[in-house]
Order: sequence, then C-alpha cells, then structure tokens
Amino acid sequence: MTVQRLPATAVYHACDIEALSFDTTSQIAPLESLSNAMGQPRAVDSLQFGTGMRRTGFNIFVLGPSGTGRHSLVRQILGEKAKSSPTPSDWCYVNNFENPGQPKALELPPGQGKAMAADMKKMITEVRSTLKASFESEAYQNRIQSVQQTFKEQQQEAFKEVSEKAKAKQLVLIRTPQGLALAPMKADGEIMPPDEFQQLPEVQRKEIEEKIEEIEEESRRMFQKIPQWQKEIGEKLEALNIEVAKYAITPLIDAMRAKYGQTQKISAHMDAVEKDILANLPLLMTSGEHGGEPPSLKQGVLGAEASEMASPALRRYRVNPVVDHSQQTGAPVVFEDNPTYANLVGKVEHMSQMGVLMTDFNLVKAGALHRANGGALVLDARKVLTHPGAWEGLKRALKSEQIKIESLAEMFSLLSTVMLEPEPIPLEVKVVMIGSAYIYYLLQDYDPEFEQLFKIAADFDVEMPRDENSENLYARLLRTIIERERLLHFDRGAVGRIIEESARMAGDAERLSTKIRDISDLMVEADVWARKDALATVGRSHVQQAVDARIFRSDRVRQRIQEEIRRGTLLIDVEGGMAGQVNGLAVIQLGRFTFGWPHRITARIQMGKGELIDIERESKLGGPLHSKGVLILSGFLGARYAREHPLALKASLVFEQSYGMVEGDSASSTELYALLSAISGIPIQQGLAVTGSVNQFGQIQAIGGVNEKIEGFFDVCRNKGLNGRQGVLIPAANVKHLMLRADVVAAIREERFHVYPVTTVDEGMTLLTGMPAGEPDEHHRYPEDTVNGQIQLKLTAMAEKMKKFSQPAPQGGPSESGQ
Amino acid sequence: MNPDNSTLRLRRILVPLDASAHSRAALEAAIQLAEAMGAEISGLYVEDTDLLELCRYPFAREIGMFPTGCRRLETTDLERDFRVQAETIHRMMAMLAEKSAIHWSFMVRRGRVATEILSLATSTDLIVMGRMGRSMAGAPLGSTASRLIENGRGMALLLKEGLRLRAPVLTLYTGSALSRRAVEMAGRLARAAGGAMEVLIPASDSAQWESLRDAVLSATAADPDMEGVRIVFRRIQTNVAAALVTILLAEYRQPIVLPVDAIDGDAEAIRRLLNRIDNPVLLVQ
Repeated sequence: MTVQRLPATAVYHACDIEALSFDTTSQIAPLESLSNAMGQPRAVDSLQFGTGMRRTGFNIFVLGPSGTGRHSLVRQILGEKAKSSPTPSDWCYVNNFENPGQPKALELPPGQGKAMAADMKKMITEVRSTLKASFESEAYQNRIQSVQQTFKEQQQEAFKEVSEKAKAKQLVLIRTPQGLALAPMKADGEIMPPDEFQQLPEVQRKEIEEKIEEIEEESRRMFQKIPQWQKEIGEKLEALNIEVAKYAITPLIDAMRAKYGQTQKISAHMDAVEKDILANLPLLMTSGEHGGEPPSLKQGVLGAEASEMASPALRRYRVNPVVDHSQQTGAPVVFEDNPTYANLVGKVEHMSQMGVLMTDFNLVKAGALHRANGGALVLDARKVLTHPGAWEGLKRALKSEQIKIESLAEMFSLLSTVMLEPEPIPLEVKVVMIGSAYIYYLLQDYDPEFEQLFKIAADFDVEMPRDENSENLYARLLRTIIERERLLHFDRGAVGRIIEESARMAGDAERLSTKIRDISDLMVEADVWARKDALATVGRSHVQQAVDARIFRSDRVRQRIQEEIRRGTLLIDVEGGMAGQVNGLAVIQLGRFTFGWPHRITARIQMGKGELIDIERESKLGGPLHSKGVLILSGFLGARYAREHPLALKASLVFEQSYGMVEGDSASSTELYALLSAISGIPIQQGLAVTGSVNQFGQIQAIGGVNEKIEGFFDVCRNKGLNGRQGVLIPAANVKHLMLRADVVAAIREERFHVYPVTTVDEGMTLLTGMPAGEPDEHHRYPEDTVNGQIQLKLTAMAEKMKKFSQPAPQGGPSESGQ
Repeated sequence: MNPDNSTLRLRRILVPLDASAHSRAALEAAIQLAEAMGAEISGLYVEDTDLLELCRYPFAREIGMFPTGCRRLETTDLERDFRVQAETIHRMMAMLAEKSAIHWSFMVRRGRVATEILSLATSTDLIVMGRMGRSMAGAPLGSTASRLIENGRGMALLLKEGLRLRAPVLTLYTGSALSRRAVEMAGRLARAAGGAMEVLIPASDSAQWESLRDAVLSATAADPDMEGVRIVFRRIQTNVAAALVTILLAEYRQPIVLPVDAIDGDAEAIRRLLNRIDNPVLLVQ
C-alpha cells in the first residue's frame, strides 16, 4: 500500500480554454440579467416568489456574504416587478382645524399632491385679496356704518328718553366725567343754583329729591342695557362680516372642491378650510407680507418659504405634499442607505420662533416607508439593527400596516416641546433586507416577530459548480462586468485564468466563486496592467500580474515569517530525520489574504498512566476543536496498541514557537505522527509536512485551506533549497480542492516537490518513516520490523516496567536492613 | 375777524376739547387745517363750574356708567377727575400735534364751558370742535355747539366722530359777503384735503346762475391760495335748507362750508339743519 505522489495535473485543475467558445469576450453576449449565471437559483427563486406575493409578512431577507451580487440582483428583480405595477397614491398632510396637534392625511391620485399644494397656496392668496377688496368696498363700509349708526341711535334714543323724562320733572341731566348727574331746573331751563334750592320750602325740596331719585333709577336701568346692546351690535357685525366673506370666498373654494374633491375626506377638508377662514377673518386679513420682521431676516437662505413661516395664518391652510409621485411611473423601489428611525418612518421637524421650538403639519417630513409605500424598500440589515429604534419602528409599521410618525426623542422623553401626532398612513410595502446569514439566524433565534414579518429568505451561495457549461456562462458574466465597469475585452486565456482564480477563491477545483465583487476587482486590476502595456485586450499574463500584485500588496507578514524560518529564528527542518518531531501546517488569515505557516510539532513521552498532555490546552492556548483532536488520539492509541495491557505512558504534545491561539483539528494527524514516532523512536523525515485530521480508527479526514498550507511549506523548502524529496501529506479527500500556485505546480511537474494523498495513519507513517506500517495478525500483533510492531513492543515494555513499579517491594530486601 | 379783508388768513385755531371721540376728530381736523394753512392751534379744556356747583346739593350723586351705580358727588373727587381728564387730553394733543410740525398750546380754564369758549372766540380765527360733546341733551348737536350758533360770531368747524376732512369740499354761494368768504374758506379746505371744491349755487333762473358762477370764477382766479383747486358748480333750488338736506344726506361724508346767511331764518333754523345732517360743517358767520 504505497501512496502515489500526485501528478501536476491533479494539483491544478486548469481551465480547458479550448472548450471556451470564443477568442475574446467581445464575441460573446453579456448576460441579459446577472441573476442567471451567478449560481444563485435558490435566491432568484425566493426573490421572485417573494416580490410576487402581495400578503402581509411576506417580506424578504436576503442573506449571504457581501460581494455576491445581492444588491444588483435585488435591484434588478424589484425593478422588473415595479415597472409593471401601478403608481401608488400621493399623500399630503393638512391642518386638522379641530385639533392642530393631529394633522390629517389626504390621499390623492399620483401626481396630484404637489398640484393641490400649489393650488391651495394660490387660492389662499386669492382669498386674501378678495377679502380685502370686499371689506374695503364702499358697500361694505356703508353697511357697517349703518349697523353702528343703529347702535348709536339706540343709545341716543335712550338718553333722550331719560333726558326728556327729567325735563318733564323740572330736572336737568348733566354729563360728569364718569357718568351722569341730576340737578333741579329753573324756569328758564338753567340749573337752579344750590343756594336758591335751599331757600325752597321743605315740601318742595323733598319733592325734588324724590323726583331725582326716580330719574336716577331710570338712568341706571338704561346704563345696564348698554352692554347688551354692544353685544348685539357685535353679533350683527360678525354676521355681516361672515356673510360678506362667504360671498367672496365660496367660488374660490368651490373651484378647489371641483378639482380635487373626489374623495369625501378631501371635500370634508375643504369644508373645514372654509369654516376656518370665516372664523379667522381678522387673522387672515392682517397677517402676511408686511409682518413686523425685517425682510432681510425672512428672505435669507430659505427664501420665500421662510418668509411664510412668519405668518401662521397662511401656513394653516397649506397642503404639505409628503409623498409625491409626479415623476414616477410604476411602483417605487427605494434604497435607504441611512435607515435611521427618522429616515424610515418620517419625522416632524421643529423651527425656532422667538426662541421657542414650534412645529405644525407643514414640518412633517416623509420617511423611506412613505416613499416606498405601494412599492418596495431595500434596507441593509446591519444598519437597520444598529440605528437606535429603527428596527422596532420598521417592525411596528409592518405589523400595523400603517406608518405612524412618532419621535424617538419623545419616546424617550428627551425633548419636551410641542409635538404632533400626524394621522397614520396605510402601508403596503415589500421590504427587502439584505444582510449576512449570521444576522438572519440571530434574528430568527432571538426576535419572535422576525419570522412573522420576513417569511421569505433568499439565500445567496458563495460558490457554484464548475463544469464546461458553467465556465462558458461564467465567461458571459465576465463580459457583463466588462460592460458595467467599461473594461478592455479579455482574451480566452485571460478568461481561463480568471475562472481558475475563481476556483482558487472558492478553495475548490470543482467550484467557482460567486463573489462577484472580488472577481470584478481582479478584472479591473488586470485591465490596468493591460492598459499599461498599451494593449487592446487583456491577456492571461495581465490577470496573473493582477493576482501576483494583489498577493504582493498583502503578504508582508508571510514574507517576514518565511524570512525568519530561513534565518533559523523559527525552527523548521526540511532535511534529515528526527524522532518525535513533525512539520505541521497552520493557516493564517489577515484581512482577505490567507497563507500557510509551517509549525514544528513535537511529542515527548515518559512512563505514566496513559495521560496525553496537550500543552496548548494546559496553557489555555488551544481552542476546543484542537483539544478534541488531541483527545481522539488517545482513543486511537489505546484501541490499537493497548488492548492487552494498560497504556503506561505519559505523552506531551506541543506546537513549538506558537505564541497565540491554536484552533482547529487539522493538525491532529500531525500530532499523532509525532507521538507514534516518539513512542517507537523511529525518525520522521523532516522534508515532509503533514496536514489532516484523524478519527479514532486512524482514518485521515479532510481539512480547510489545503492550497495555502502546501504553498506555505513549499516556500520554506524553496528558500532552504529543494532537494527532490520534500513534499506535503494531505488527506486524500482534499485532492479535489487543489488549485496550487503556478510555481508549486511547476516544481511538482518537475518532481522537485511532492504532494501525497493519504487516507490512513498507516499510509502516512510509511511515507514519513520510509518503513512499512505493518498489518496485525489474528492476535493483534504486528511484525517487529514495522512501525506498528516497534510501537507495540515499546508500549508492552513500558507496561511491564510499570507493572514492576506498582508491585510491593520484596520482603527483607537488600537495602538498609542488610547494613 | 374782518369779513371785508380780501385775503383770508387763519392764524389761530381754537380747539375746545373734552375726552369724547368727537373732540378727538375735531383735533385731528384742526391739525390738518393748521398744517395746510400754517396756523397755530390752541387746545382748551374747561373745568365745568356748573358741575362743581352741583356738588353743593345735599343729594348730589353721580350715576356711573362703568360700573353702573350711584356715588356721592364730592367737590374733591370732581376736581381730581377734571385734572385727570385735562392731563389725558394734553397727552393726546401732544401726541397728535407732534407728528406734524405745527405750533400748539394747551390751556385749562375754569368756568362755564360755552362762556369760556365764546370769550376766547374773539381772539381766534376759527373754532374747531366736536358737534356733540359730552352733553346728554340727546340731540345730535351739542349744547356748546348750539351756543356758538346762537352767538352768531366767528367761524366754527363742527365735526362728528369718525368723519375726517376730505375732498370734495362743498360750499354755497349766494353772492353775499359771507358766502364769498365761504368760497374762499372752502377753497382752502379743499386744498388742505387735496381735492376739488364743489360750489352749490341757489338760482331761480339761468341768468342768476350764470352771473353767480362767473363771480365765483373771477374771485377764485384772483386768489393765489386757491391755485390748483378744481371747481365744480351745481345749481340748486332756492329753498336752500331743503336742498342741502337732500344733497348732504346722500353725500354724508363731504364737508360743507356754510355761510349762515344762506339759510333763511334764525339760529334755530341752522340748528335744525345741522340736526338732520352728519357732515362736518364749517359755519361762516
């Protein structure tokens, strides 16, 4: 059972460029839509189903890693759907005259909101001028005069009456600064001087006094009537004003009713406007352009709009078109980049007036939900979740199927000023949230409402199968990207190289990466190199240049590690043999760049009670997966070699010169080899490195990052000098993932470097020691000249020794007692 | 005042004031005139001795309007009320007069209202006053105004609350010396109000009408102070009082300059006429 080294063709699955049906990408058609070729049939299907479903709760969560074309696909599918959907209604907020704190929402056919707002503004201007004209007219003035005259005459009449009564009783009525007084009259009509009065007989004086009291009483009664008359006159004047005003404004309001009053609600609002104008005539007539403020303050940056802020009388009749679809055909698709609470559900702004924050329905601002109402809203899940209140606000709106504008500050009692409660607007929107799978599953686990509201998941895959057909389709995808990014055309070789690189990105020779963004970036860079060479098409070498340049930009740390290995700071041997020491391979990811890092793994044994010490774990540097791998080893060890006797050893395992966390079980086979070599004392060839996890039966299992690991060890060997015997042992299950770097492939082709696919520990030990592993006989005994035989011998011997130690010392031994 | 003096000049205008709205209208009109003619205004407030006299009655009481009720009329209270009123009027006058650059003065006198005004009338060219003061006679024409008419001397402009001097100014021309003066005065008023003058001519036949009209035309042409004033003529019936009532009831806002001799009869006839119309009236007598 000798393991054959892999040929160069097996370590790099090159793209068969002869199978590509074109010379350059200019000869192929771009994809009519990105969706077909992006290897996302599941996501496309979900999105199409979800957008077609017009029921509550069938909102869509698009999950998948970024760069897989989630946004483009969503944009495309929603766009297609929106084109064939009807344009939704416009919405306006108007004053609620009965309760200004709760503005009313009016629904209008698309495009009419703004028109109504403009017409309303015009109407109010006309109302004002018409009213002014009416109230300044001669006819009106005459009527006012006549009403006032009535009052005066009434008053005069009453005075006259009292005055005459007084006269009849020989009394004079005199005006005093604060009222009236009475005095007796002489025969000539003059006031009788008091002296004269005193000379009158007692009886006459008494009589006069009685008369005076009588008239005084009369006068008092008259005075008491005056307020009542004044009230009556006020009412009459008001009735007159309303009559005149009504006559003036009714035609104007009727015109608005005829134009917009299709719904009961709008005509009811027009009734309210009419009623309010009539009730607030003085306010409407006096306010306006010639307000007290200097013009410079009003006509600042805000222009004409601001000047109207000064006159609340005019603002109260305006129409605030919060949702305007006058430029829209079909349903809206809104992408909200900044989904804060206020940007989603809308807000009520405030303005400062004399140092006080004021607001009204004119300051109600629409949110993304308003704009997307009747269509679709696309949001980034992470942003929605990180903005305070945004997620809750979105859910509340979706659940209640209406948009209710409430302020966050108000919710948390952070702001105490005038607040509005605008009437909620009915909501019918398809929300598409785009996020990672992690967020999706988190929400599903922790938010019970999530499942009710986002019933459709569109799951994006990061890779797609690679075959001849898909490679051709992939080429068309590249063509689409070329169009989108306006790149030079790629020739066949370049396309092949990109397909190969895409497989490498997927970490699998049989798959292609669907991370469109990465592919697109690579193409843009290749395009730059081609242009530098002043070529019209991008060739394979340019793609390679782009790949190399990319690696070069990010491989400073790798370079440094390789350097230190070469200089002997990090100890890695690539020649000779050594027992209990094997080259293991770790993978490090720095940002988007991943590389392999060879590590020396060593094992030491001593007599013990079957303990296997994982130094990484003891020092709390090993993750749980790593510990699990090590614990499996003892299971394997015991079952294979220690059936008849206890495992009488204590072994310790370590990653040498590792100063951070070690995680993963991909080194468990390496550790096993080190351990077996340490037990048997058979040296391991240091020219070989090992990766792969192992199970309790000694089978080697697949691991990740196989390409990087092989390349990492290759770099070390090359730096120290290739001798033709060096190579890497990988699990056989990983062979299909091999997409090695060109220089490694070349070395393998030239048999200067080797990759061995290994399925069992025995195969691995044979390769590492150059000694057969050995098969057990029926008694579970291994031949002595095999690796396993040697191990079995050593373990049996250790068990025997252990047994001796544990037996009590012989009676009267030759020790101290003999002396 | 000399009616034969060929050029009419106003130097001093007397404005008797109380706190009524009518007297404020009078003051505003007086200021308007004074400004136009370069005259000086004297405001006058009279502390009514009749009222003070009243306090001596054992039963002297004041029936208040706000609030309604009676209180004992005391000399000290009344005198304080007078002072308050005089002060209020002084302030009002200062406020109104100082908007325009006229000379003005204000005086307070104690006496009977009509007597005091008439005593000052001799040293003034024109008296401007509210038609209806605080008198409770119930008639549209106040007692002091009535006394002025009865007295029959000097020019007096009687105004009602709410009516300002405005063009066109009406006047009446009969050919008499007084009516010539009235035309001159009306012309000046029209100029002050910035508009036309309308001359009513009572004539029994066209010859009389034409001669009277020509007389006005030649008189006004010679008067430099009437330059630019547009003149409209209207022929009316010879029963002047009746004709005036008809015209003025229709044009109740137009001021009229009325030569008293145009109205047949005595002061009582003029009072009757005034009682029927609301227009500002400038009596030329």
